[in-house]
Amino acid sequence: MRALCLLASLYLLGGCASVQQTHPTPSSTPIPDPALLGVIRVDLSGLGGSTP
Amino acid sequence: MKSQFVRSEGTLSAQTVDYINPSGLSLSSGWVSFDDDDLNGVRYLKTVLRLKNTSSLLMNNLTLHALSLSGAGSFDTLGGTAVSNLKDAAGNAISDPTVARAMQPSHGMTVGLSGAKVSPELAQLQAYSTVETAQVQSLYTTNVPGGLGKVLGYGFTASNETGGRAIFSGKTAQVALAYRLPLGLPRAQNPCRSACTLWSPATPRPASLSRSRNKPITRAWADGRTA
Repeated sequence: MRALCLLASLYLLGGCASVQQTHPTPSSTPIPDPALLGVIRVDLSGLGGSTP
Repeated sequence: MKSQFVRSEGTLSAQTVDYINPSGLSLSSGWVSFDDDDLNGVRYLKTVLRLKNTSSLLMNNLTLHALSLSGAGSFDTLGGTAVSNLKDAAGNAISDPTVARAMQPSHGMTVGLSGAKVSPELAQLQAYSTVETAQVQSLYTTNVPGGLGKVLGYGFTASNETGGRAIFSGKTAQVALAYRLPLGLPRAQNPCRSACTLWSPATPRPASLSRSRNKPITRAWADGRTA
């Protein structure tokens, strides 16, 4: 059971992802690099899964 | 004999949205997973984004186009691909461009005992011909003067709540971003973290220019045409 709980915890902790766009929010102040306008970078994070 | 080890559910978690595109498209929390299909020796990295049309116009065939970046500092991608920030299970960075090039875009897949199958609701990979890719590149160049990106021949097209590709004003949609990569040994050195770089003009077309909601699509809405 302890092992299962640990595994579940790893699942919950493991998959953080973020989305980064070079567009600011309307209220934000930084001016994005024009050469990166519209770029969206998405993290595809996967921690856990198969045991190394 | 190859052992079979299948992780059918993968990892689910919330995502953080750092910026909201002010031009009519917002991205909100989705979920990520990775699934190993040891029967076939491949791993799937996948994230599902939720999108919302915050404009007053219809978005049809909204596509996030894969984009390769060079000379963009921390936004640079690897080896002419749209992939960056590769890390293995121990968190070690993988800078070998051949690893990135081995990552193939994919539909959203579900892995079971018999291997991987396409998840119909996440079948959102869209491939483009050379001519179509050049058209999107032209659109990119027009919209992003001095842009450093090279549009690649694929993207991921969002689906609305009923599976169609018309996203009406105020409505939400989802898009699955997925890659398949070969599993090598030792297993710990395979990528388990990655990022992909995409571009979308996110400028909705007037509804009058869109005529198909459910027909198979061969071109992105951004091209100004529907199939």
